[in-house]
Amino acid sequence: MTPPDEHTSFDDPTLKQLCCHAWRKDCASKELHAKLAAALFDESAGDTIRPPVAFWQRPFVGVAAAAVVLIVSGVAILQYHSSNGNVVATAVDAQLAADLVSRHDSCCNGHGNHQLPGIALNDMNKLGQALSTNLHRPVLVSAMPEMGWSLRGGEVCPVGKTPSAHVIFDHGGESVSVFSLPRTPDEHDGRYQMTLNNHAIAGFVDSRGTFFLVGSGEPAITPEHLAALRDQMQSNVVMNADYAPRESFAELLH
Amino acid sequence: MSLTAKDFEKLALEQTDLLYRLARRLTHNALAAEDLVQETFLRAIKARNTFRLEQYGIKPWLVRIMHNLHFSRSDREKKQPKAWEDAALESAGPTATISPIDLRSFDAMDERVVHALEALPTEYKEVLMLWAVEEFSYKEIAHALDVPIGTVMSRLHRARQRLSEQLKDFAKEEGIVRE
Repeated sequence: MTPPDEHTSFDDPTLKQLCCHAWRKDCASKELHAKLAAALFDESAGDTIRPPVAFWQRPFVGVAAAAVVLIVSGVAILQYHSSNGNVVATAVDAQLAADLVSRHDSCCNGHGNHQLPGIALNDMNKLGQALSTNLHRPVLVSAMPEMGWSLRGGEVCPVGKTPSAHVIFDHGGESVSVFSLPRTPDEHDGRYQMTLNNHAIAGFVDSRGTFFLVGSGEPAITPEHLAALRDQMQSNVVMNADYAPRESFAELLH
Repeated sequence: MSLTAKDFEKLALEQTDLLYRLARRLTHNALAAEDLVQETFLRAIKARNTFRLEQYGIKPWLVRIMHNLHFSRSDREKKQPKAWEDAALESAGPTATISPIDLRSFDAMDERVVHALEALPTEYKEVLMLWAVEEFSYKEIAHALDVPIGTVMSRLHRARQRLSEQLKDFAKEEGIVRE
């Protein structure tokens, strides 16, 4: 029997999970990566030795100039708004940004220790596995890439209405929250950065989910500093090892 | 927007694992998959100037190259139509045989799911993987595979049905579902 809505919607997290579990581990070998990089590098090198064309002879130079004017105007308008409206840039959804900052403030200002029972504070790996198992999705759990930061703890906390892994680090009076959320269909792969109410926010979105760092507002962490931390932590997303095939399997059959 | 060679190189290389995973689903063989990925990159390099970043991004563009390359190869090799109609896919048998395995452990259950997934028709696996693992939108899948969105969704539904049918007997034996 054909499902009645098969042409309008298809949402099946169980099937998605099974496919991810079966197929995500397939990765290209280092040798293949190296071969492809070499092939592309050769092509780039070829480009660089082509005789240069005078700037004014290049096609679409007028269009490019107009684009530059538009971009400069856009940046000026953005900076004007940021200096007046307290929100700098970009594609971070306003509600999400507000929810992230609100959760950061609420948790970092002394409410709860964010320690999962049975997990030592220095056991990052166990903390990551526990949070990922709890949420059934990848989480960003990693030691801070800079000296001087200490882990306060990690817990599942709501961001808006969505449960998120929430890991908190302290450094003197400063604090940084690391959130791991499921990706929504509207979000695009990429890096995000903005400031809201003196809190720097830096994040990234990829096929594994939506991950954000939020810095304390007072004392404030600069957006550049937070973005640098994000860039160094980005590769440390962990998947839960405790996969439950039996439950997923049963759901697939319904 | 046209990209510099360096930007193109960076963007393309980031998709190596995606392309390899897809190639594995298409070819069922690690070596053939590596060949297909390399040939896809060669085609992509040649066609780089036709790529426009703003349309759907580089992922669907590269997937499209791989898809066309694979199915045109299959055409040549098997003298079959480029893409089967869904009705034909429905009546087709599994593309891989499920080998006997120990059914008494969670690992076996895992294995069984993996085998059932691999036994789906290639066109179903392709859509499933792009949707589930690579998080492509229906539009991106439709664009990459050059099929209507309705086809993408019906392939997802039928893939699920097919999986469910293949796993039903095993689930009954194991007591995972009630008879």
